[in-house]
Amino acid sequence: MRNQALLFINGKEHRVAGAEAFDTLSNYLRYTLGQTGTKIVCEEGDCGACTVLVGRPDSSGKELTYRAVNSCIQIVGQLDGTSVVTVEGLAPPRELNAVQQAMVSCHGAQCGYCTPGFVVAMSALFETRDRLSEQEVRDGLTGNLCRCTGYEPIIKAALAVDGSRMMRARDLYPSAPMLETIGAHCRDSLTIEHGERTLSAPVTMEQAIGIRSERAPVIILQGGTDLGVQANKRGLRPPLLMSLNGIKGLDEVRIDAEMLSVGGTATLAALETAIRLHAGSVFSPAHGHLAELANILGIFGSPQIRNAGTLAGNIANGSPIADTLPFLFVMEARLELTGRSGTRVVPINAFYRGYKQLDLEPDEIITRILVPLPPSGSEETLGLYKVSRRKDLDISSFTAAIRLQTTARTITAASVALGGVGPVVLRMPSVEALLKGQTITQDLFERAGQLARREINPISDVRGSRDFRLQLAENIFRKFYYERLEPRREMREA
Amino acid sequence: MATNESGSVGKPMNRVDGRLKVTGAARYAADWPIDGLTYGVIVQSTIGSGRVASIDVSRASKARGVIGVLTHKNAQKLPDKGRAAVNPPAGRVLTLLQDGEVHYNGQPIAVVVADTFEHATDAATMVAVTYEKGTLAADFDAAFPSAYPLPEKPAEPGRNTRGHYVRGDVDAGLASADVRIDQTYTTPKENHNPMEPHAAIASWEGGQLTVYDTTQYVYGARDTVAKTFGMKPEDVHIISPFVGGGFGCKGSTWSHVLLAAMASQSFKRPVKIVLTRRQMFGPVGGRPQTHQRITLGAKSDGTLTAIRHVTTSHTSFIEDFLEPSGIVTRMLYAVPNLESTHRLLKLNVGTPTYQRAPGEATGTFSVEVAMDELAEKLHMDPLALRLKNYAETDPDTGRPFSSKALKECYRVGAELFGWSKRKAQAGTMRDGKAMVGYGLATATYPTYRSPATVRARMEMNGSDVRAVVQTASQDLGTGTYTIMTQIAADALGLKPSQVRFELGDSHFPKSPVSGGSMSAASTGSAVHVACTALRQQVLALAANDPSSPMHGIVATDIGVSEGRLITRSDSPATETYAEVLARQPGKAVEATESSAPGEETKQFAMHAFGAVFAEARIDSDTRTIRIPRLVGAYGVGRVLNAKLAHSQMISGMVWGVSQALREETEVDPRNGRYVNADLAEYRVPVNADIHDLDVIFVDEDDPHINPIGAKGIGEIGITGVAGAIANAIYNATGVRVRHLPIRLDDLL
Ligand SMILES: Cc1cc2nc3c(=O)[nH]c(=O)nc-3n(C[C@H](O)[C@H](O)[C@H](O)COP(=O)(O)OP(=O)(O)OC[C@H]3O[C@@H](n4cnc5c(N)ncnc54)[C@H](O)[C@@H]3O)c2cc1C
Ligand code: FES
Ligand code: FES
Repeated sequence: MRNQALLFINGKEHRVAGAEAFDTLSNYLRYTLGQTGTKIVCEEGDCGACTVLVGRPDSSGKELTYRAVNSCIQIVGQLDGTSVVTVEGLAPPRELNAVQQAMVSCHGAQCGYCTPGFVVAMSALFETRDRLSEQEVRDGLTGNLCRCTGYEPIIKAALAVDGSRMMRARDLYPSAPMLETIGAHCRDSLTIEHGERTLSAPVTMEQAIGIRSERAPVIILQGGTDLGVQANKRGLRPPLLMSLNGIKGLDEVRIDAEMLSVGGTATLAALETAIRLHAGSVFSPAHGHLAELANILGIFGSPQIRNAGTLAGNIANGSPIADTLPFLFVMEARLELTGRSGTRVVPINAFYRGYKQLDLEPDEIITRILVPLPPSGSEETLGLYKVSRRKDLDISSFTAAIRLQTTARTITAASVALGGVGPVVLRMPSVEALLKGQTITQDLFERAGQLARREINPISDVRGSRDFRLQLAENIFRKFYYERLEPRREMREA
Repeated sequence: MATNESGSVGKPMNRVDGRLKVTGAARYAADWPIDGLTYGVIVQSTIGSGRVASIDVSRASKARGVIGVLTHKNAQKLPDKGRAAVNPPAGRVLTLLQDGEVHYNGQPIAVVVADTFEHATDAATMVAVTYEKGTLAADFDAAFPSAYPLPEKPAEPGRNTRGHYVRGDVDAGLASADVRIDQTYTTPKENHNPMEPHAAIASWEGGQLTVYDTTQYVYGARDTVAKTFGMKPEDVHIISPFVGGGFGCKGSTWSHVLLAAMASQSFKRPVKIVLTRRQMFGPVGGRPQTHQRITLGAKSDGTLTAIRHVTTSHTSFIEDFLEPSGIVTRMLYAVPNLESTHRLLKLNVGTPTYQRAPGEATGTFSVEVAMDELAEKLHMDPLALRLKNYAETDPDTGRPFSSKALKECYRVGAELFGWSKRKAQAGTMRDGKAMVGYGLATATYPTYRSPATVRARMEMNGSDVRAVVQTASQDLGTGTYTIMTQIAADALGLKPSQVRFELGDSHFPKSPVSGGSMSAASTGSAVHVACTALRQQVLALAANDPSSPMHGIVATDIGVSEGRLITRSDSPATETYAEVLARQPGKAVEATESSAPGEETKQFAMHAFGAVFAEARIDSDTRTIRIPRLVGAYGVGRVLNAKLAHSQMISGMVWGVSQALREETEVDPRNGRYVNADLAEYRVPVNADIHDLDVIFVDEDDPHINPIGAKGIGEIGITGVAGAIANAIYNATGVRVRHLPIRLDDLL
């Protein structure tokens, strides 16, 4: 057993125990190490000013792959076995990397306070690529806010970067020696104690279940994109934390003809990548459904959030506006839960019992999410929707999934799930019944919308009024009809 | 203004501070490494009105690492109860633990100081407070009947005061109108939310105090701190070389700066206080909420006969602060009868303050939407209506404009935008499922200038020369470092790389607040005169020195390019600054000069103008609003650095989009709590919000305005944008929204 987390910061080895392991990485960098290039602006994952690169072993285990994350909502102990690169470490002393050069010559910095975060996030984009399109740049930088520039010069800078001249973190900091040290050190499970707080990082499922059964409640800290925010916003300091990152293989994402299978520690980014790399038939309904999911993942939080946040975390957090839930509901996803008494599988449609109340025992862990995919040759249509006030980096006001199975123009089965209209994501059995067996017409979807509106009882809050949500529930069916079913489909709006 | 061929002003030079910023090496207030530094965390009130009945710090004081806790029970008594420095914009009425009164939810009521930031944060949660609650006023609408006219000195007859202004006879003007518009427009509370949180490190040494601050006004901060403590200004040293955005909230010195200094004095250690994002809602100001009733009258040909503009905005129970939305109305259009008045109402919130284009940002929204409504009622093109009422001289003061290129802005902007394709009938332009609309508004911002003093020294730098130019100005990201480097280089005949411009230190000569978009005009003019004087001194040294090849040549006949002196006649005589300086004892020459506005301010009305055109697209099912295109054409005098000017305008326009569609600070009327005090729920724009933004500068040569010929550009960009967008949304949907921000919900 170990009581020190091991991480590299700009290539230098750090062993962290005690109080500092519970510090956020951003505070550790600024206060303990005096590296003040990393800025703290919101402390809730909203702005990206604190962005750093975190390198973790890739699937081969031979290279570190770097991804941008928000250091303000990650604690140091959680980064055991990683290599962190900050703005100070992007280039050798007195040099600039290609991103930094472009940011200077394109006037990407005005007041400069967002700049280190942008520089790091942009450098992350060029870790694996030489050139990016404007859309890729915009998508890649959605996690970074700038109050001065209006973004234009920053986007231009990214487009001006010549990635072939880029100094990359993986080249600046050779992986092999670091991986060797990490491999040797992180073979054992980690337990860090400070006062009444404990952070454990088991390396096997047995250890994990043991820890979770022993003392309660042990809170699983995964990406920290929910828990880290609660810690900073509400001063939440759970005494017992456990990270599952040390358990090998638990982050696997697998896609085959029948099933999408997502491990309990797989990040949303890993899921997105797996979908993109999946070589299924472009014409199969499974392919279409996965592409639809990838679209929703593409506007989930920001790259920094997706690089840290997990699908299991999104499910376990239990928010009625969690973006992945409507999809999982209409796809009849199943959750594999592992605990003291073994493994059981529950349908996601039965998992939520009330606002943030889950069918999950204190000792259980979500170890896998299983999503059955439609067989090839079947006729299916899926629409996923997220409505928010701001286009990116925004919490939804309303989410929806509509899935139809059809023969010719007749609906043989319909599944509808709405989020943000009640304490949990809701299936709409009456609407599904209305649709089933009917021929697709505009009028049918007008009526489905009206029925959905009558069936729900949303509240007003800062993200939208009750009336607005009622109206959206109605309109979404019309939108689905026009975009997916109308014989002469119009181009979808960007 | 003297320039030479190699001049850098007007060229798109790179920022001189770019490298420091992209490497994380630029030091902001919270970044300074100080020996023995301790950390202060502010404890805030959790009620909106009343007083602290008891405050128990025993647990907090005993917590790990705690050095001390400052409350109104033990804080040092300051002269005049902490109000000795009140003198806006720098000096505000602050809450400095001089009594237990609570005026808003989130007011500082204690400071916990500990050896680490974590310890201070933990201990701050252990301070136990009980309150006697007072009556709470946190609801603008409920407080509306209590509005009172702005208390101000009685107006001189015929003079323009901030609060109240009349010309002609508005009732008669309205009576003679064929068409009238009488509507109320509202704008919300907003917060500046610069990315850099406010922060201060205070450190005493004997009777001397050093403060690392993030401020838009170095001398203001110095004087405020000094007066608050009853010290000599020279005994306070403010250091603020980088400011991570301000937009107005860093123009005043707020409580946390003084609290850091008080804690540092009490506990005899350097103390750093960094505000959290949440703490930036309340204690450091924000844009006040406004309610603006506008009455317009016009003849059927569009000629305005009268405007009445009554603005009611909120302030706090601590201090009166006015958002002067009605001032812009006084000069925007040639209307003979006009009344523009302001009233305040008090709420239990933190005192509001100047936020980017205070008054103009909110006033151009309401007036320009009202004009759109009038145009529609008259069946007139909105652009034609504005041209019909174009003011050739300032209708407010009667003076000529020092320059005004607004007509050209309308023309150029309309052409680039394609205004002629607009359909007058609202709700008739469609593109697939999108409802499409076009809108326009006028933008304007006054040109201010204040006195500034600059010290310029030329010295040897190895075998070359270097000019070190210093003034206590500020760079909020607006490019002061770069522009001043360019102005100095041109005045001296040096390359920009031979100039080191320094700011942000109260040991330098005085520059004004970086507010009112006047840094370039004020400090720039002073840099120009100081560097010109320095150049003349060096040239005179050469001309008077028998050993110089330039000996005997009249100094004014000598030109300088990249540090080399050449005569303007045919003489081949030449030498370099370096050669001149090398012969001087001390090898350096220094000049300190001031520059201030003069008679021209009494002869001319000075304003920048622009025209903003917006396209709105609304999804007919989800009502999602997109602004795919925004065109702004501006006349701002001389453009000093094309890259910087462009980015300042874009920045302002993005603020306008955000004002139109996003930003609103929400206060819970039941307890005065700031509901959305974070960057998740207080929505600043993200990159996907911004599409095509086009900025054009029309040529404008203004010989009167100031020695550098430039009008301010920091604020005009936000003006008019919200109005143009609201008008475009109306044109797209037929739904007239008269409040900001405009939300999806409004368009159902
Ligand atoms: C800026 C920002 C933007 C965001 N945007 C979105 C968005 O667009 N859409 C959206 O839906 N959400 C969004 N979120 C919320 C959050 O990112 C997601 O809910 C994310 O999926 C959580 O995953 P995590 O691994 O970070 O969870 P953590 O914070 O680590 O944990 C969340 C909860 O899940 C539990 N948990 C984690 N893993 C397991 C497991 N394997 N078994 C059992 N319990 C487990 C934890 O104990 C905890 O209760 C956003 C958050 C932030 C900060
Ligand atoms: S400080 Fe804003 S995301 Fe970390
Ligand atoms: S440059 Fe100031 S916030 Fe981006």
